[in-house]
Amino acid sequence: MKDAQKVITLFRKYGFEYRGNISSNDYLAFTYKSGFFHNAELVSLYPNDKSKIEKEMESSLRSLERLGFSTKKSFYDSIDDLEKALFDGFFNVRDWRAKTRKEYDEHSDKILKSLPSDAVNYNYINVPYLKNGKLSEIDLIKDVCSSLTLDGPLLSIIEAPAGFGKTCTSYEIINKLANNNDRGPIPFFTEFSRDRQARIFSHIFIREVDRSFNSVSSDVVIEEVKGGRIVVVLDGFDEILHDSGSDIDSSSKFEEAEPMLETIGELLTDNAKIILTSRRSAIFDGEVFSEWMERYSDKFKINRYRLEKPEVKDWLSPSRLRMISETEINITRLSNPVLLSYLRFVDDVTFSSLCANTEKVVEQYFKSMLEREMDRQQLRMSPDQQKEFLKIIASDMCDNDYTSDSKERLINTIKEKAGSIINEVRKLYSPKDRPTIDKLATTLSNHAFFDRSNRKDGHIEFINEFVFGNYIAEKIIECEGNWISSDERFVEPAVSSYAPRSGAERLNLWVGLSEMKYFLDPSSRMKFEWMLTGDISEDGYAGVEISSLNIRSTDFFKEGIIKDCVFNDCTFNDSFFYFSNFHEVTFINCNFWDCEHSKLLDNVNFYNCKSNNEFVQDEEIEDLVEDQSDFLTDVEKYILHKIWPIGSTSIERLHHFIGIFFKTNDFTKKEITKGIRKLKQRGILQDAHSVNFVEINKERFSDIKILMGRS
Amino acid sequence: MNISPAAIEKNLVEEISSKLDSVGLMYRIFSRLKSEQSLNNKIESNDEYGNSKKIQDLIGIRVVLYFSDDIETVRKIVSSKFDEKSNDVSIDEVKKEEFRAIRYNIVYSLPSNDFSSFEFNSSTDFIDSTFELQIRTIFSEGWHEIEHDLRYKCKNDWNGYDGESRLLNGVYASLENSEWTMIKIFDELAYSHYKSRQWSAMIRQKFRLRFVDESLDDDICNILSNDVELAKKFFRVERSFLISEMNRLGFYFPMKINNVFYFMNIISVKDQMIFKKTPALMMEEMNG
Repeated sequence: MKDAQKVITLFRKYGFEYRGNISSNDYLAFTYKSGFFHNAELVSLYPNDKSKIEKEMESSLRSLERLGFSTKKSFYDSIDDLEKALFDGFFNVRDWRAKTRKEYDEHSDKILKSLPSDAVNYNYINVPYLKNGKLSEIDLIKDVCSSLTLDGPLLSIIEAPAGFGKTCTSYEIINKLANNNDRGPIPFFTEFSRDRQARIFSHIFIREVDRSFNSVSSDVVIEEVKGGRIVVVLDGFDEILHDSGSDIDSSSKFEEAEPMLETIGELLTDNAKIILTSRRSAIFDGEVFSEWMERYSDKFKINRYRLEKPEVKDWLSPSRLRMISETEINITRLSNPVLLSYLRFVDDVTFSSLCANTEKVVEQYFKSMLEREMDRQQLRMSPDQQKEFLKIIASDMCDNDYTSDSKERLINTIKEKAGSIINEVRKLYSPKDRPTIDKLATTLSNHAFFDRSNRKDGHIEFINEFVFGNYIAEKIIECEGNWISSDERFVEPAVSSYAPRSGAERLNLWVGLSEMKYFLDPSSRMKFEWMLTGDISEDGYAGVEISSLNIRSTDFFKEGIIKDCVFNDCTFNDSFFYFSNFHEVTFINCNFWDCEHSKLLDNVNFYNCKSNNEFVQDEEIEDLVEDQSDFLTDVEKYILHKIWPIGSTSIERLHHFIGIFFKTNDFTKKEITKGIRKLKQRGILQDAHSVNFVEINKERFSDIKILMGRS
Repeated sequence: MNISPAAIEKNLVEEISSKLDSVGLMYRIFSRLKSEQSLNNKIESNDEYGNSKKIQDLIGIRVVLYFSDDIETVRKIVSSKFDEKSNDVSIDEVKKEEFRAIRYNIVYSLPSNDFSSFEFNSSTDFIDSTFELQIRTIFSEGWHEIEHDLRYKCKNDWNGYDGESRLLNGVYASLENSEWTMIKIFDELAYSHYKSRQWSAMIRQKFRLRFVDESLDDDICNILSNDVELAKKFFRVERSFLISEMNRLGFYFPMKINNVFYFMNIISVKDQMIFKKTPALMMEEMNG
């Protein structure tokens, strides 16, 4: 504590004023004004001499009190203690943890509300996940939380499809942090949902920070985030990105995301930990995002978690699991947390009847919830009428691009858009009991399928993506192929919620999406085609890049043709590829497990791919010719020009995204693949941190210059 | 870290409030950030934006005062903290022969560390690194609010109704009169308290500040009662001078009547007896 300057800096950070005239060699004086209260704190520099210094402080103390200050004498053993005491005091750490635990409990209650009445307690159930591309056995929450104690800045990205538990996972994380009594960082949690206003991430962030920690300035919060005392958890990051809605170009979408990512990038220094959850979005698979990660790879670490389908066995008791597996139903289709919870909690009689007809599980779930709603709110509105009503609200959200709204505006929307249903329902009451339109609209705004968004004052949203998606899907099907929403964000929940349905129903949804699918980014489109139709054969994938698919048991282009397409980071299981229908298709960093193909043709290329059989021909072994000549082939020149464009004086980046080399009509994909390999053999290029990148071999700069004639 | 205009707005309001609070001024403060829409409307309304001029009131702050004699004082206080852009000050002159709405708007540069990260992507060419401060009194604020919505925004409604328009201005005239009268009333009251040796009341009514307590210490009251000439010296301390000095010297003590009294003695009266009563701390800190 001898370092007085450090003490002064710390106190100033929290808004104290240093008062030199009152200070002595043994203690420092600070004043702090909060509202009409004037406080003064005298801080000893020598904790061991407590009694002597206490006496010394007396006269200043009396003087301060006479002037109207509330005073405090402080003795800290170390700067660390002082720092902790200030942080604990100003951030109300104890209350903050308690508040977070309470939020967790409210969240649990919200989940229970969407389950049958038999459900009495909520339990988070682990889902399988990939961490940085590899399947992990460690409990997800444990893994994420233990990484928060490591030194250095870390960004954890948790991606999952709509309705697969991003919010639940976030809550588990913040609850675990809140329960770390007195130790470890505190969570700062923000749940995003799209509202009707344009939103800028850094503004939202600062606003939330200011609202949550109102006794300290946002600068201090930011500093504590950087220091690692506050872990930032941003749930539903994709909600603040608005897709362009027209021609999907992942780089233009990234431009929208970039300021937000830049803000995050700026926060990630020192010891900062940020966790963000998002739907799988084209943004995170695109080349520009890879470049962003690469740009920051020296500055902070990134862990990417991808939540996979929940496993039925984790949710159902062995006996129920046995019962259900004895049916002919493909139970993996039911792998949705809402449905699995339903199957977990229904009574035995209902469960057996559902086993007799698992195609009806979804329908039964909705029916029972809507019937319960009639009871719960004494609502004389049949499940069909409720369905109509919920469909109207869901489609208003799709049309106007929002997912949450203030209660007041929701009630207005209900009155405006669902007026005729409300009137029909009112007729079912006797004149004496008949509710007013306002009252009924208010009752409906409290529907079990709606809930208060946890973070936005009084905002209402659908209780989960599964329910939301169901009503979006109903609307899509009704539109018979003309449905187009303002944003592709609304398609995934619809598809996810229809995945457990019968083949015919799924196909209906795909037909309903026939206009909209042209606006989807190609990777999502291919995934949805597979989920809804069971195979992949449609036209419309010419010249696109498909990323991060994880597909099993399907036929690829048994019919139809795919051309000029690049698959990036995809995993295929147990699938058959009709390569005769593939023209100029390149697979980069893809895995093929138990896959087969018709016949390998010249215009299908693999780069850094793996298989557990003969699927991928190891071309890396070919062409192993010692070629260190002074000449570059045309394709090598082309690649090097991409890296070092004509006209620029220097090579701006060391790392280069491989996908970018393939965007040309001058060379075949095979030629380009060969060119990259040759340059690697020559030692000009080498593998970078990420397999999607190559890097320039710095030591060969002068050779590159000579080879390119730029020396 | 990019700082949003909203965060800058909040910081500015806090800083200005804290300055005004520490000298005990009575005021209300309001602020607003131009919405993106109104920003765009303004940019579209005039081709000069982005060329010869920029928008200066993305952040607008209004300080509404209880007393009109504080207007200049507040300007001085804020200008001691932020750089006034003197070319962009719009203060209407008071004319003797007419009563009309007076503007008192000052443009300040944002502290440079704030602006460096001002994030308004495409609009940066159109927005100056400034904020606008408007200073008003509560009476004129009330009149302006009504006038703005019901006359300024619908000028056509008033075409040909010069009489009514003149009468509305007349209301403003009487409000200005009332403001002036009020100050006179408080001064009269203070003088009456001086005469009847009610020292705490005298200080409260004379200086019209937001004191946190009710009265001067008894021993000070006794000193004044025994030496009315000394009391007169305190009575004659000029209010705006007191406030300016508090600001200049960084008065940070609780706004107790005693503390302000000691301070007046330090800056103006300089009576030895009172010096002896003054806590050493204040002597040291305020003897600038």
